Amino acid sequence: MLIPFTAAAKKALKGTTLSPALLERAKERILSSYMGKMLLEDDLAVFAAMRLVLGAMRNAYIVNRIAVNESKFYSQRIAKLREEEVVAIAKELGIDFSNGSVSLPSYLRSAPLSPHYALINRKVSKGRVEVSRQELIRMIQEVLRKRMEELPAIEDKDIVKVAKEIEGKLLSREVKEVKIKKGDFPPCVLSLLTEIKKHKNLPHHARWFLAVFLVNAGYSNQDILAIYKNLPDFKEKITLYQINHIRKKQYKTPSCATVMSYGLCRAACGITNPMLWGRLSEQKKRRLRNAG
Amino acid sequence: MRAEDIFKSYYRQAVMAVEGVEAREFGAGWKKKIETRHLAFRDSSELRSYLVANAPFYLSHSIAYYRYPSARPMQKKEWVKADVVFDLDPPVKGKYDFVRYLERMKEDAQRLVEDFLIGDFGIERSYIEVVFSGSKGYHIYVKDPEYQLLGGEERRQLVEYVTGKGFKIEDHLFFEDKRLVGPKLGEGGYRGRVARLAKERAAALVGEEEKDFFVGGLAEGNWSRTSKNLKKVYQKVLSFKDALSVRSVASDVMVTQDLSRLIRVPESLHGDTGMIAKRVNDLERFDPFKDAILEADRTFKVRFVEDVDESLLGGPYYEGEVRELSLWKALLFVLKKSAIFL
Repeated sequence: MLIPFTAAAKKALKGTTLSPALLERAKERILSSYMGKMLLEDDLAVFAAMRLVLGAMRNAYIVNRIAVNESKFYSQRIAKLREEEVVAIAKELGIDFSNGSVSLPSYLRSAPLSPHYALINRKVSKGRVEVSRQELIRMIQEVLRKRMEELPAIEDKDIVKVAKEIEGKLLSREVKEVKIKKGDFPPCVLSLLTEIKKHKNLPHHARWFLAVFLVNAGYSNQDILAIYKNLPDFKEKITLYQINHIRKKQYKTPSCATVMSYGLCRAACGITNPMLWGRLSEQKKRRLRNAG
Repeated sequence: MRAEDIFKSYYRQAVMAVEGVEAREFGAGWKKKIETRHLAFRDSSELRSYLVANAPFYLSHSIAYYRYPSARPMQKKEWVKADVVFDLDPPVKGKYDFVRYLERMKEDAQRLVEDFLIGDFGIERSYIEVVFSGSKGYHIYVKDPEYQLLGGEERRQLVEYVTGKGFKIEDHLFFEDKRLVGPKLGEGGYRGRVARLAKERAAALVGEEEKDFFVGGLAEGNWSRTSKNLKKVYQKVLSFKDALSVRSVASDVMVTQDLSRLIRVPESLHGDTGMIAKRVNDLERFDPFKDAILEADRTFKVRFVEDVDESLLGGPYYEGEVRELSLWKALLFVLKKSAIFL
């Protein structure tokens, strides 16, 4: 199996031209990938054609959602490979792995944003960070996702036409606009909302923190769903279940110390819990918002 | 005598040797830190001409290297890379409080360089540059090419790591069948640091007579080899928190994540103190009051306009008093608006 962005993949693609048939298959792949269904095909030419179409579409929501799904798909495949194959792929993607550890700069570039991967909780010594095989594969997935989000700008008329057609099809099913009720948010929450606006894929703990905050701030399920709809892998049923779970368990907004340990703190507000934001003066709020 | 003339004559002969001078954006200020920015200089002599002509009290340059450092807006500058800079910045309040922090800041700088940058991060010493800020702290530059390409989020992780943000000893030390289990001595990162600190402070934890036995257990992550009450040992270990990290590193998002921020230029004069933002080669021996001051072969007469009670600066001085002082002290008191030149 060829993994995108590796030398072998580039070599295999050499000389491929974009035929109408290939464009057609790329279209299918976008539609299925968008829905989280993976077409079981390893044809890298289709993947490359898909990137051209997405490059012509330039819709952050669709692109990020596909990047999440596609990278998961590839990492599931990579998980079945032998150790040395995994290491070789990692290396090609800029993750320098050997003897159970990766170099610190490559770790910083590739580790997902979650407390589990926060540098502070890792074994770091002499510029190396210990990671397990499973973690290495997760890091490969993260790099693939980021690389998939970087697209060439395509202006070719035929491709743009196909791109617009698919975009219309996909968006008729989904909410595309970000609706966030106006509110007075602390920098940590504001920063998450800004990420969602850009359809970024937030890690689990960030989603959890944001949901608990919004629930405690009195937002309705409908309001919260309207925000979460913008996540590239949004599933209404699961989100709703989790919001209701937060309500049932009456979870309180975590303290600033906890938010900090999640790596989500964005400014030194001088409060102990994000819910206390409202007590600060308007002047201080403005200064902190600008800092965050 | 005016402070401005002293700055001018300093810049006439100072060797600034700014690395990448042609690729950095400069900012200058007289009454405050940055009144004008987007300045760029082709080389050191162009920079010198500017400094001698304008004698700014504050001079800063970007941590970033740009293709077009004077272009505006920012995107047009075309960012190439940026030094990773840790800003050791103590929380001082009064005008002269900083002199009381200098020793502690030096210790923090040493710990940051030896334990964190070299020990944990494995950065080569030749890529690390230590600069006295000219006032209260230090700027530690990392010029490793791989680090210079890191993004804001990645830099934030590094700062959080050295400040210990989010690290809880409780997560790594716990009771298992009434035994205390924790990190091993040889481990990397914060876990190893906790264990090593326990070894260093073993006598305080379990007493002089048991300390060797206790330390023997730490090698395997066994924290129970003592006759002392384990709950008390546990509580004492939790109080290590402050000794684990370098807390004086500025961790404001503005400072850590901004890839375009400006920072005081090494070897420039600090307008609040008249001291030199000196590059430090031997941190151990560095003494700001000897190595980062302006010298002259005569004394300067000043009149104090307020009381200054700081013994480390030869005080107390009283309002109305006229004194003959060495250049650097005279300049310091004048810039702090405690005295005027006569």
